[in-house]
Amino acid sequence: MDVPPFSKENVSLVKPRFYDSVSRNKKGCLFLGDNSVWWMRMSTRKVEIMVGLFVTLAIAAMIVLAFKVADISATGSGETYELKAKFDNIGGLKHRSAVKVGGVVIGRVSSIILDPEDYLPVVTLTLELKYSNFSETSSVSILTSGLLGEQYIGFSPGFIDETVDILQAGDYIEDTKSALVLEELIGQFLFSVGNDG
Amino acid sequence: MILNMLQSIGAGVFDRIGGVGRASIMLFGALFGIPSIRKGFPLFVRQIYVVGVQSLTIIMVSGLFIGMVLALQGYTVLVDYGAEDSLGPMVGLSLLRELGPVVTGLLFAGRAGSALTAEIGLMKSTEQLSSMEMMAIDPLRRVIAPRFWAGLFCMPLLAIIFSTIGILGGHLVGVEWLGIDGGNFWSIMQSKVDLVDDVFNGVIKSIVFAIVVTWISLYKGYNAVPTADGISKATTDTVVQASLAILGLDFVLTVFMFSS
Amino acid sequence: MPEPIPQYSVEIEQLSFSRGDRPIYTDINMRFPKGKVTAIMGPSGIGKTTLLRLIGGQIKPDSGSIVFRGHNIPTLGRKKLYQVRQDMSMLFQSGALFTDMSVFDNVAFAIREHTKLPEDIIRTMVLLKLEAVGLRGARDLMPHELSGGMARRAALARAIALDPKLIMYDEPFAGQDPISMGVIVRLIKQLNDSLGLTSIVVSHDVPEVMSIADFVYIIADQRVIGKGTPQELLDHESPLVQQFMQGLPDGPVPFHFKAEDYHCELLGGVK
Ligand SMILES: Nc1ncnc2c1ncn2[C@@H]1O[C@H](COP(=O)(O)OP(=O)(O)OP(=O)(O)O)[C@@H](O)[C@H]1O
Ligand SMILES: [Mg+2]
Repeated sequence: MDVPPFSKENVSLVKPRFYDSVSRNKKGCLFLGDNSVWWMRMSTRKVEIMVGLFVTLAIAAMIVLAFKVADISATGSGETYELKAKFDNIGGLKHRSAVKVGGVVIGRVSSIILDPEDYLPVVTLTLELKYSNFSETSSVSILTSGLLGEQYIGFSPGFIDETVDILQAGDYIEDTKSALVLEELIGQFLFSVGNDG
Repeated sequence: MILNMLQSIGAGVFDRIGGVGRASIMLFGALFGIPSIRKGFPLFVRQIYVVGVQSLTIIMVSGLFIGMVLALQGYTVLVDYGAEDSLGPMVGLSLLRELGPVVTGLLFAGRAGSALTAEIGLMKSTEQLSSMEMMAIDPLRRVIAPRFWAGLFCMPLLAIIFSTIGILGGHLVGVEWLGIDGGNFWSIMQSKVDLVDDVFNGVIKSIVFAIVVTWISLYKGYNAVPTADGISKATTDTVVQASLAILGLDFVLTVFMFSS
Repeated sequence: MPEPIPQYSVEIEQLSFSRGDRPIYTDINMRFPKGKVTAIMGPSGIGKTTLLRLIGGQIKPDSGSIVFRGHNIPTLGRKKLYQVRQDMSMLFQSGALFTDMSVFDNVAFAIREHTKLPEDIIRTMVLLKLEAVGLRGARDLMPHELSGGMARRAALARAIALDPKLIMYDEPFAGQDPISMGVIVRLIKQLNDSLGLTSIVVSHDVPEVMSIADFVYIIADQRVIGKGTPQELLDHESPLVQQFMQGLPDGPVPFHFKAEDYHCELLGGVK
């Protein structure tokens, strides 16, 4: 194979960053050895700039994760208060499931425990403080988004007049509707069909 | 015969224990041996460049492709159940909790860990570490410490960048290409991903992996047999042992973090 | 009449050291006078480099003491050892330049690490040392761009950078052309005379060593086989010493590493 003669033109094909290290070589002639150590000659300044860019990139990524992916602006950042509700059956409700009023998320489920006396699940809802004016007659039900989607708590605010109080932090919501469990529904349906026939 | 075998097993065990001891002493020297802020910081910055900035390309490219593949595969499964809107949380959670830290760790072991081992091993074999000792400069402080801290600093950052780019890659495939609704992609992801439970736990994983990978790399280099094949063996050992350690530790950490 | 007590920079007493089962030194005694050039000669593989490492505290002897300026090196703790090492310096047989730094930075390394001098003073100091070894023009080269002899000279400049009290040269002349050899010989002598430091020179180059050494040790067989001023050694009656000084292949000092009988081994161990 023919090796092209060494000349200025060939040299100009060399990558600029490598060329940089070549020109810093004070031997007077161009040095075209291995460039595996080109970064060792890189000035401290350039290294600092690259490291700065790297760290900035990482911070930008962290910001994307915090606001775009985990969205801390919508959850947990503002002030909150808690309400409780006792259900017969919570179905597939989970920690951090949404609490919605007319489709708008106003809070999340912050804990689910079993009442040790009557063995019914007690769900704690953490709601945003700006939605705090709900009356005692409000009701909550466990709903499913779509046929197989996730379960959430649908919150319907009750009427407000002089005869009813406003729910305070820590109060129980009395009016609750449990989750619909598909197997039970089918069972009931079959049972009623069987009775009819 | 059996006695011989027992003897060699015993010797092997003692060798291992001795190795762990030496590695711990080295780690100790590195942890508490920062020369001084004024002298140490430029070394630290240069090592961040070598360990972190130079790993950036491979991390970003892999992150992008892994996110895109996740979205593509996830879509084909989820679309059968009409649940393709859950693609966002699927891509996000698998990247943040597992793939981000683990794949970054594996790539880091291959890209930066092996380079660290080879570099330190060669410095040893060419008596550079010895001559530093003779100049009354502790190589643990001058050579090992800045590399250790740089590794520890860079890997979580790389993992964060990896996950973020992966999620953007998933968005690219899911929303731009397969036509999922963009609003749903983000909002469902937001409702599922928790900053502390998912993002921070992933970062903690990558910090643990960073300690293990950097530690193994530096120890293998510092303890390499100072010959060509000694160094090549040390480099292989680094990649194999660091990768296994990452996978094993990942299981343990996952059990602790996500199995409530 | 009582002789004035000689001042010794390094005193080695009853030193024994072995690599695995193979003894390198048994109960060896040596003294290196302050401000003088002492040469160590001996066959290859006899343990000269090992001796320098023992003095530097990089390896510990099995028994015996090595006293450097009042400190018994083998008993020192890590911190104290590093402190004591600031007064010594060693030119490694391989040069051992830091491959990730230019020649200039290599020489400046110890100065920057141990002092807080401003950069322009460091520059002057480094250029002085580089000028002394004839490498001032090569200051911006990386070690892999140097020839073997140039690398050795750069390492020499690095070894003398901080003007230590004791310098150990491990084969400083190897790989040098006659001109640079002459320069280095004179440099070692000059450093010694002008700064009053102590030099230990390990070398095989008999005429060069003889020209600068004040005192010579010849070691073989795990012990000192001859010592004295160069003149005394040239007139030494021991056949071992004479063989070494004249470079005869056959004689009491074996050229070969200890092995089985040559003919036996070639014939496949048939005795
Ligand atoms: N790391 C080591 N492990 C085991 N044995 C070693 C080691 N280093 C040196 N040796 C052995 O110690 C002996 C002395 O080695 P040393 O390097 O001191 O010789 P030397 O006198 O400097 O030889 P040369 O003149 O060739 O440099 C040699 O026989 C060598 O086999
Ligand atoms: Mg030697």
